[in-house]
Amino acid sequence: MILAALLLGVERAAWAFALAAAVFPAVLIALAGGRRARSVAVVLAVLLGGGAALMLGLAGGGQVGGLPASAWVMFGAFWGWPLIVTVWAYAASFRADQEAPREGGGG
Amino acid sequence: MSVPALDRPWVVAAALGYLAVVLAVGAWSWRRTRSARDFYIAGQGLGVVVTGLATMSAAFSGFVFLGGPGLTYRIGLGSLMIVAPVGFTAAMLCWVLGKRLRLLAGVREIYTVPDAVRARYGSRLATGLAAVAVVVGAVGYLGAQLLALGRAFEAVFGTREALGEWSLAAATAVGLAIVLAYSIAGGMVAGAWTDLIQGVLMVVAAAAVFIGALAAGGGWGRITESIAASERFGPAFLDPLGTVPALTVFGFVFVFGVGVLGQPHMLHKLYMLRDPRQLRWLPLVLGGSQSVCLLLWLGVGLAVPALVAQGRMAPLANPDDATPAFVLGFLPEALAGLVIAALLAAIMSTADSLLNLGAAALARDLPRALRRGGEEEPVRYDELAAGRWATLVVALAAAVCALLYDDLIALLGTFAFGTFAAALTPALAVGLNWKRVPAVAASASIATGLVLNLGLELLARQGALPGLRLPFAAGALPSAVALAGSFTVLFAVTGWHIVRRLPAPRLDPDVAAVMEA
Repeated sequence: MILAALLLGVERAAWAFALAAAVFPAVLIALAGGRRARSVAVVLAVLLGGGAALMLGLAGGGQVGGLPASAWVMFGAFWGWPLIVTVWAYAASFRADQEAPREGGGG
Repeated sequence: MSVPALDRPWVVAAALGYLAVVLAVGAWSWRRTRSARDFYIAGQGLGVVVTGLATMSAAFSGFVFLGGPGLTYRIGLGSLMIVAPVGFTAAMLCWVLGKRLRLLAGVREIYTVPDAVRARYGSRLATGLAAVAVVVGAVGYLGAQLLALGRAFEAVFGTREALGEWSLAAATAVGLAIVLAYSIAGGMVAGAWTDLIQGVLMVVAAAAVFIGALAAGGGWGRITESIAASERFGPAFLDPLGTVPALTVFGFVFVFGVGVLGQPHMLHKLYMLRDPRQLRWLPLVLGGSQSVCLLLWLGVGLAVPALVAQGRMAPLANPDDATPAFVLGFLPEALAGLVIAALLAAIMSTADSLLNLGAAALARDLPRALRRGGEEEPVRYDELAAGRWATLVVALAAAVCALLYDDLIALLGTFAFGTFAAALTPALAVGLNWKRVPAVAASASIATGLVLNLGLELLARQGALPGLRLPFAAGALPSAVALAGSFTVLFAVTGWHIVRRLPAPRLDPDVAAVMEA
């Protein structure tokens, strides 16, 4: 899907690529981790995918605190919130992983 | 943009002091580097703070400190999508690869990324292709660092007026000589400890520069107002999707957010962790320190256009001069000295890691992949000495690449990052978590990523055939196409194996245990 979007290059393909590219890291975490990691992957997919959709929807839109709203979405959805959620979830699930190694729930 | 050295004694003193410290670490490490294991993975004895800061400083380089603000000056705030993914990449790195690679290094003699490929797939072809990808990527990435180092030396020591057109070559050569001295002497022991010093310097300097940038630009409100009101930049500059297509901006997220899983200079550091249980805190140290360093890109990236818009700074002829022009022109001299030292640290910490990796691929991984006897055939040469000679060869190749490349540091860095990403990410990130991926899929994926990234980059830059253009949408990054192609090939070949009911790959018991852990 990502490759197709890059090769097609029409307006809708840019949306498809943005959403797929944003959600793909969460897919990899889900593939690698256990149950807890998959829960985090869902949260991350919502953050990144929702952030990408908002950025595209708000492009050229209103200002908040001197910056376009899409810039604040970029900082929040791709940097601030994912940092808090993933760092906390990784450390929290690491203990569970030590107790139940076959679960593979974190690191 | 250049400042005579004697006009800035604190800046020159800080730069010289920093260079003296890293050379001293190299000399100290010489006696502690007794084996190839010491040379390549620092004896596997580092704590989580050293490992985290060393990983950050290897990842954040001249590309981020010099090239980043330069790219923002050229294309606006959309460039920050290159670094914004640090919000999730640190934890993703640990979830997807951290535990697997560290445990593999515990059960096998694993020093490099191609070593991990060999352990997982048992394929000389996949290992050899991975080694070639590491050499190509390391030369390109190191070239970007040398270009950044040359530009930083030019700015600090004022060589542009004195040496004219030879300035960049001379400044690059001096920087290269210093990196070579401590890398050849101390290998990864020197690399890891200088990375720690460099990481601390980078974090402190980035925070200070962010505060200094806000103050110099007149505060957040005045900075954004000046940029939005100027004819040169305008409001579109501040909109992440204002000046570049969405395919480019989200291509940054894809290449830099996912491709981080194929960066050998970061993955290599995971082998050095003393105890796998310390991985628990690695995302905190790595993600936290990367986030602080991101502030430098944001601060300088906004302050310089604002100062230009306010008429307090001349428009930049070369966008890569943004950081040195701001630091030398608008920060107090003592702080400027600290930042210049941190800038050199950012560049040199990545350079030493890449030198080490490229040397390991040339002196160790490629010969092993070519040996017909495989693992059983004894090594007939001194791997430590070969590693030191290979370091020199990689450095010279990178210097030639840097001097022949005629564009922004960030663009050479993007190509090299993309080479690692496209060639190595699918085979490692998917292959180490899904047992059904066969060696042939890994080999095909690595070859696809390598050839596509290199081929598309050459196609984009060639001028001999004007009618020959990139066969995809405008704004799509060649690296993103190569990475997507590489993933597609890996999944397609693996799917074909499953559909045809071909036998599942046979994994060695220790490797299977690591993948199940």
